[in-house]
Amino acid sequence: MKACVVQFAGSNCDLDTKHVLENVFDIETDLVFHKDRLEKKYDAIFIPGGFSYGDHLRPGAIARFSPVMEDVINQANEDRLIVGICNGFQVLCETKLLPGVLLRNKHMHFICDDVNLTTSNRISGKLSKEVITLPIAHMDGNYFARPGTLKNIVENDQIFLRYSSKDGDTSRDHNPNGSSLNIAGITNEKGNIYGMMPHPERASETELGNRDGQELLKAIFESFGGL
Amino acid sequence: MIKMRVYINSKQGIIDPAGKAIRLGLLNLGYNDTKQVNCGKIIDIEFNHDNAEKAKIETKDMCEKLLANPNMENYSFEIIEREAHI
Repeated sequence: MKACVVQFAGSNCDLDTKHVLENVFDIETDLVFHKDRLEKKYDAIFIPGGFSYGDHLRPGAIARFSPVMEDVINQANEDRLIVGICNGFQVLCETKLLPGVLLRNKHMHFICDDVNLTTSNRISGKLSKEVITLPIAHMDGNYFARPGTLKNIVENDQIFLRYSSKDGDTSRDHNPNGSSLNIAGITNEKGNIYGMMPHPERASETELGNRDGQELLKAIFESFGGL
Repeated sequence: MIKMRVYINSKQGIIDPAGKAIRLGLLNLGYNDTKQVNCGKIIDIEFNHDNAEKAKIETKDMCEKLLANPNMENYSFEIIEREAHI
C-alpha cells in the first residue's frame, strides 16, 4: 500500500499524519503539495488538519480550488480511499465529496479536548472496544446538514463516529460543539471517503498515552480491504 | 471601473453563534430591545472594466462557486461605485 498526505498553505497536521502512516502502519507515504498534481499511484489519500489558507472565507473553502483537489475529486470518484481529518473534513465538505458543512462551534469557543466516540457498524466490529477516546481541536466542527440529507446519511449508515459519554450515551449532553445528531465523522454513500473532526493521528502511539486512533485508522483500512 | 459589494448572511434557522454573542454584548450595554442579531460578511470586489451586466453575471457565479455556501448562507450584491473609463 502507498499513501500520500496533501499539504495546503496552513496545513499543520501533515507531518504528524505522515509520521503515523510510516512509523505505525509501515505504509510508504509521500507529501503532495497543493500546487502539484496527484499521481494515480496512491491507494490512500489523506487531507490533514490545520488551517488551510488561514480558514479565510470559510474553513476549507479556498483549499477546494487548489490544483491538487481536482485530482483528489477525480480519484475519489475512482473509489480511491480518501481520509479527511479536521480541516481535511471541512475541505471534503466544501468540495462536496461529503454532504453537509461544518459550522462554527455552538458556544464560539475553540475546543481542545479528549472526547468519547461511538462507532458505526462498519467500524465497530473491527475495534477492541465499543467507545473510543480521541482528541479534538477545532473552532468549526459543528456538523450541519439539511433534514433530508441527514435522513439519507442515517439510512445509508454513513455516520461512523458520534460524540458520546464514556458509556456510549449519544444524547445532547455529550455533544461538545452542537453537531447535528452528535456527528463527529461521516463517510460518503459508497464508503470510500471518510471525514472526521477528531485526530486519530494524535492518538496512535503508546508514548502519547492513547492508541485508539491507531485502532480507528486500522479499522478504516480494513473496511476498505486491508493494508 | 465598477465596485460590487457582496453581502453574505446565514440562512434562517442556521445557528449563528457570532450574532448571538454580539446580541449578548448589546444586552450588556443596556440595549434590551434587540430580538435577533445576524452577523454576516461583506466582500467588495473591484472590476477592471465598467460593464455592469458582465460584473453582475460574474459576481453571481463567484457567489455560487466560492463566496457563499448554499448549505448555510444567502447572498446578495449591489454596485456601490461606478466610474466610466475616460
